[in-house]
Amino acid sequence: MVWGEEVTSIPLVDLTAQHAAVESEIAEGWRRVLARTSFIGGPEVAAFESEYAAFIGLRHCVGTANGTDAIEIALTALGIGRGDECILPANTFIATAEAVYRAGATPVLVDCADDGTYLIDAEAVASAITSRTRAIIPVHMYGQAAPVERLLALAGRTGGWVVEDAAQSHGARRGGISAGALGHVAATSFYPGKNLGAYGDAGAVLTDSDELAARIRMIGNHGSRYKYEHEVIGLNSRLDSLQAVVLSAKLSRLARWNMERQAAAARYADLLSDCDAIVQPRTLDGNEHVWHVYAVRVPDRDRVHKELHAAGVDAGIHYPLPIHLTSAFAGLGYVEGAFPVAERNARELLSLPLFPGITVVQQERVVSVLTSVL
Amino acid sequence: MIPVMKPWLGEEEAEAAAEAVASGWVAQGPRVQEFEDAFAMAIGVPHAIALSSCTAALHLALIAAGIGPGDEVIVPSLSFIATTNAVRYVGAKPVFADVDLATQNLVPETVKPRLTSRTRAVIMVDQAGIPADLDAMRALCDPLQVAVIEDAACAAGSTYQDRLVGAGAALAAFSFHPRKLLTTGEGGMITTWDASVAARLRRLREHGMDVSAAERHRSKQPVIEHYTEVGFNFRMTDVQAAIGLVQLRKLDQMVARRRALARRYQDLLSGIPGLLTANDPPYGETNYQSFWILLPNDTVGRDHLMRLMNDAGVSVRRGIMAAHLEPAYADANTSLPVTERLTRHSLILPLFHDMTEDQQDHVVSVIASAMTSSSPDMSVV
Repeated sequence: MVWGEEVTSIPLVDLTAQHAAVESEIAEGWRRVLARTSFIGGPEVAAFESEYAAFIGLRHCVGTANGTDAIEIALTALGIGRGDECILPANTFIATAEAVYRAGATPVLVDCADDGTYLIDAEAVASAITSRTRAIIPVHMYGQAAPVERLLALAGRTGGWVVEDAAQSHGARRGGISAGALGHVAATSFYPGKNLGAYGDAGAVLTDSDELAARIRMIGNHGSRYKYEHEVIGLNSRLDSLQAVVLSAKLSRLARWNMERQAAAARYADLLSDCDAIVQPRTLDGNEHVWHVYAVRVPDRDRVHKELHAAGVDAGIHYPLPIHLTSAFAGLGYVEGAFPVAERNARELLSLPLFPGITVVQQERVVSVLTSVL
Repeated sequence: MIPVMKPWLGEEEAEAAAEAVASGWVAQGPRVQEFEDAFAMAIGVPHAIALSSCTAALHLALIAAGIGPGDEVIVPSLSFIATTNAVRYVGAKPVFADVDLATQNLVPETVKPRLTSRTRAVIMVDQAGIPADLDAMRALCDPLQVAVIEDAACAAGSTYQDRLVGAGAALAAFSFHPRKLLTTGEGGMITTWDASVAARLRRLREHGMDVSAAERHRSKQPVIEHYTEVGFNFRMTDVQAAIGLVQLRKLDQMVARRRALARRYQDLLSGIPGLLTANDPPYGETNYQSFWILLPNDTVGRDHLMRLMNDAGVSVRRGIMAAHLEPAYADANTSLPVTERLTRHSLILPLFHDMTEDQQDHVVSVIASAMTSSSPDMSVV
């Protein structure tokens, strides 16, 4: 920054640098699609699906219209529905719980671990398992993988699936294995602000099983494997060619962008290291974190959030209400206080601006404003 | 002669087998992998390992559960002898427990008195396709760290607590022998939820090799395999798997047809006083792999009835065998009253996919007339 220059505001997510890098490639791909005037499926979708499957280290990636559908379709394909219970963390984006409900199953919420990781608490999962548990859905919150190996062991005792919600963890690894390849099947989202984001809604289901992949594809395509033959009542949830072009272009740069996020996260950790009022996030042993969100715990969060905004720093809140305190899921019957860690996180977590291309100057300004308003 | 069982095989299976032969890859290969994947997803488990038989499946399941010499494994005597033999293969001691009359399966009440400090596993058989109450057995066994292995040899397509049998089990063994609904000639499968167990089972079935022959064949580079532990040759062939893939697609139809025929048997036989038949337990549905009837004590003798039925052109089989009454296990020296009653007084009626109502009517009329004429029972002591 040059002295005297007007201080521009710092957004939570700025996609302009990413877009500049892929703009010409996308334009070229879109011209190809537009010239063909064929927008659903097609070679671009097939290409991205195989590229992303290879990136994760699985045999199959099946594109869907969005990440919420991806979870619902994965559950339905596994035969999970009415009368079945799915365990998920109480602090996550509402889509995880919605998808369970839409699949016909009952969301069973558990608290998150009180260890700074914000991840699902495996101990709490163990006590929530019943004879009706058919799936555990860990959410790889904010860019790092949940301890899936512990959940696999718990689920396996009574025969339950581990369905990863890998919407926030593109490129994250645990023990060298990609988030999305840790459990039995995974769902992901390519919402624009994600580490790998489309230019609109998009998602995918990931699996190693040929049989399951075929079933997932069938369910997402109106329950049909062959045109106008409908085996089951499915969904209309397909990835379109225009989004696939974007995703392929961005996927080849994802590793570098994730490294930029990691560098930015390390810089925040460093800049905030002397600030005792702020509790920094922790990375679980064995994890490679890709920092979809850099969430810190701050006292009097709502005031701090407002004052940051007034000073031109656009911080985020992920998420202001845990699932059980939303009106949508009041019917589950959980009371306030049921999940103290999730509730405290909802009150105190503040997401600092983080995106590939964020500058040192921007980060320093975020920290200086933040520490001044505490 | 009305057969007791006839596999439902057709052109499609013949073509699939021919394609496997024509492919030039007839040993365990891509079709076995495809069959495993399809079977796992059909049952609702993440891992299925195809084997040469269900006997091999039980043998490997016991190894996977860590059972060996000095250990005791509780089994029903009332089961095909392979259940008990598998325990001997791993050097452990089979301990017989009695069964519940209505389901012919082990229940916690019969297993509990047989538990000792050396008990390491219980093999729950879903006898004749009737699902065993796995949750009840696990409520007894889990706290004692006694493994529960499901011998689902007969039970592909049966349900337990709204899921297919096997879906809730840590280890379940299936059979594809022609007396079962889904057949590959000989053949078996283990299902499991544990990825590392699945990987070990895949090595054990193939001589303990850490790289399968199929993987070596696919590799573009020369691969040197290693032998991690003493294994077995328990592989299924691709020709069998090709047949199995077709059969698996027909499983729902097979179960539906058998259940319809079984309900008809139950209706037709309901007029005979004191006769008990195979039926659904409250917690699940049977595939009626075998439709058994249990004769009341004071009527026609079972062996006499079998002779009458044979003479009338109806092929029947005695009820499930009892291992503890066989010479091979004479040293067991135990008394199992329900098992003994079932094995002596029950028989298995013809039931197969293409069975006609006329054939069923004939079977029932032979039984009805034999039982109303009330021949003296000379065959049962």
